[in-house]
Amino acid sequence: MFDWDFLIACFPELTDAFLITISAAILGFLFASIIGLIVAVIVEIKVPILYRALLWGNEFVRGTPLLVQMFFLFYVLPDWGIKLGPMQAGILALGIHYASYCSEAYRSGIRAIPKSQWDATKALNLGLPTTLRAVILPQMFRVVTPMLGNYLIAIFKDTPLLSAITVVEVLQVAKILGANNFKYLEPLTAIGFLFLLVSLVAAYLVRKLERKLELSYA
Amino acid sequence: MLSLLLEGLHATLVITLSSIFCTILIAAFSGWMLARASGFSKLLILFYVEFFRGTSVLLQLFWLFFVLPLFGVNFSPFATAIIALSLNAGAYGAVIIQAAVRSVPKGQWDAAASINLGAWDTLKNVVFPQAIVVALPGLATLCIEILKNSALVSLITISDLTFVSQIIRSENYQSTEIFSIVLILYFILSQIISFSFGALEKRGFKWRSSGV
Repeated sequence: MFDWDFLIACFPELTDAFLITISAAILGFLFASIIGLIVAVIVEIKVPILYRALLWGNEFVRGTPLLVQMFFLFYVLPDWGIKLGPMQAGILALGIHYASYCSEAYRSGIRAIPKSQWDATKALNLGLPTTLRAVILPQMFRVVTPMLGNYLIAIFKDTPLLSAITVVEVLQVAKILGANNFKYLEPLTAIGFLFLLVSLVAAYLVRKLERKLELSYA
Repeated sequence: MLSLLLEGLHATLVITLSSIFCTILIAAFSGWMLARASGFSKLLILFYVEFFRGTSVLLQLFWLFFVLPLFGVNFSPFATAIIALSLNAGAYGAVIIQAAVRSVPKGQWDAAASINLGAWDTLKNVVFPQAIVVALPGLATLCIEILKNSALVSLITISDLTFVSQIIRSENYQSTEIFSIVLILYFILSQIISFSFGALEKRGFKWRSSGV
C-alpha cells in the first residue's frame, strides 16, 4: 500500500518546497511581530482616534478568515494599482493576520508591568521614546517571548494556505506530485510528519525558553 | 449574485454549526479523559491531541479528502469537511476542557465522594457548574476559530461563502466589492458567536452559584 520508493523519489522536491514554507513563515512572523508591536504601543499610549481605529481593525482581522484576507490582498490590491506577487501577498496576509494576535500579546505584556515603573520614568523626567526603549519594552519582551514563539508555530502551520493563491510551497508540491502519479498517500503523509516534527520540536523549545525566562525573574 | 451569496452563507453556517457541535462532543470526551484517565487510554488521547495540534488544518483536510478514498473510505466532501474541522478543533478543545476540569479543587471531589454522590451527580452538580465558567472563554475563541477555518473547505470543492466569492469574482471582476462583503459577513458571524458566548458566560456564573 505505502510505496516507499515513490516517497524517496519525492523527497528532494518536498524538502526544497519545505524550505520555501519555512522562509515564508519566518518572514510572516517578522512582519507580524513588528506591526503588532507598533499597534500595541499606539493602543497602550492611547494616541487619540488612531487607537480606537486600530482596536476595531484588530477585532476585524481576528474575526475573519486568513484565507479570505489572502484573496483580498491578492485580487483586490492590483485593482488599486499595487501589484504584489503571490508570495508577497501571502507573507503580507500572514503578517497582518498574526499582527492582530501579536499586538494583543504585547498589550498584555505592557499591562503586566507595574504602574510604579511608569511613575518612576515620570519622576526621572524621561521622554516617551526613552521610557519605551529603556524601561517598558525590555520588561515586556520577557513576558511575551514565549507567546510570540507560539504564534511563530501557528504561522508555520498556516503557511500551506499560500497554496490557494498559487504559491508553490510544500502542500502545493505534494498535491502536484500526487496528481501526476495518482498517489496522494505518500507525499501528503510525508509532509504531515514534517510538519509534526518541526512544530513539536519548536513547541519544546518554546517551553524551554518559557522556563528559562521565568527562572531569571527570581 | 445575491442568491449565490446566500447559498454560500448557508453552506458556511451548516458546516460551522455541525463542526462546533461535533467539536464540543470530542473535546468534552477527550478533555475529560486527559484530566481523569491514566495509562493507555490517556496516552492514546494525548497522541491524538498532539498529532492534530502539531499539523496544519489544511493538511488534515487534504489528507482526509485525497487519501481516505484510497483506503476505500468514501465520505462526501461535506462530511470530510466537518470531520476534519471537528477533529482539529476537538484537539484544541480537549486542552481547554482538561484545564477546566483540573481547575475544580480536589476538595470538591472529596466532598462529593464523602456525601456519597454518584459519578453522574458529581459531574452534573459539582464539576460541571464550576468547570464551565473556566472553559467558556476558551471555547468562544475556539468556535470563532472553527468559523474561520471553515473558509478552507472551499479548497475541497464545497461552495461555501469563500468559494462563492471566488466564482463571483471570476464572473464580474469586482474583487473589491465581493471580498469586502464576504469579509464583513464573516465578521458579523464571528461577532454573533462571541455575543452568544458572552450571554452563556452570564448564565454560567448563575449555574455556579445555584447549580444546574
